[in-house]
Amino acid sequence: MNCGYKEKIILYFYGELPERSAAGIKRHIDACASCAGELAVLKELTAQFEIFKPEPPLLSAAGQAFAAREPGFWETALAGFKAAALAGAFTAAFLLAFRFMGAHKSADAVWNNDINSNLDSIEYGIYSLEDDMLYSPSADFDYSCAGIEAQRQRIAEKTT
Amino acid sequence: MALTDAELVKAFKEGDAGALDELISRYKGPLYAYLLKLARDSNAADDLFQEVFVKVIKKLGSYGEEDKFSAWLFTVAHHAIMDHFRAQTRRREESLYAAHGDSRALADTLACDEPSPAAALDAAERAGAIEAAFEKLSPDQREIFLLRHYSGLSFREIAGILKIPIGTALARMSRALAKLRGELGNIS
Ligand SMILES: [Zn+2]
Repeated sequence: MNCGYKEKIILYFYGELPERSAAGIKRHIDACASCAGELAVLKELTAQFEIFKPEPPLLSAAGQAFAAREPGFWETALAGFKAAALAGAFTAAFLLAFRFMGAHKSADAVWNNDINSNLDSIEYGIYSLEDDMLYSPSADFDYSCAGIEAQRQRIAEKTT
Repeated sequence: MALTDAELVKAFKEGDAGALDELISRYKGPLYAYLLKLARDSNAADDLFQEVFVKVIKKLGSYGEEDKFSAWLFTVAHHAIMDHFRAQTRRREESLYAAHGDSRALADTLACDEPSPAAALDAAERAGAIEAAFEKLSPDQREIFLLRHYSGLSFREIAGILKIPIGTALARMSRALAKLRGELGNIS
């Protein structure tokens, strides 16, 4: 049985009803055990979810590189990134990728031309670096990281 | 004064890479919790989380600044998780049934502990019972609550994301609450 207030109780709880209807809703809640019970459940559920704060994963370098590989991404983003280059930024994708690798300190090269032609090699580097992180001892990882960094430097030199 | 979401998108398109970081940091917590609670599998939630942000970054060019960013973000997330469910159903229908059976058994154990009245449960037990009751809801019912809780969008906006009338969205939410109340008993 529905007293006709069920939906209104929900909207009331979330503050989606106009102020003027609040008094009527409150009166109904006092009189209707069913609505009072459901409101109590909603409050309790909400309180429980308030304290549930799982830590989101880091956005992975591979994911960012994947975004970069999609047609249309660079056309959309690069116009902006050329302006960002003046401030020393790469691209959001590479900022995130290098931050992920802990190499953001040196991510200050200025890119402007030929960025597309250099993407694949960097992208491959990031992919293999992730593989190294998963499957190799840390010495290999450091070596790969240095390799990527050297590669990035070379590209930066070529393009500035 | 903090920039609005739309201002951040505009700044990003104009070359402020940091604006994207700010936008992501605003939404990553609620978005991840929504995905995790709906997918109920942290590996899947991690993948979906990456996928949603990759799509968002890719499609920022087509995002109209008159649209509400959070509505747009949760629309992308909703589609991603629906695709995930569809693929999951196709791939491993049997193991899904098995997993569902397990969680139902657990929930029954918690919810049907008849001798102890709700008031007598301590906080941890109560939290476990709520969790179990929530798990018993259908994916549609869980999603309507999770969307409202985590997106901060109104039911009208959520109805838009789900492409259903607002009355249907509210009725779904109402049925979810009735079911939870049935599972949990009255709260004194
Ligand atoms: Zn009522």
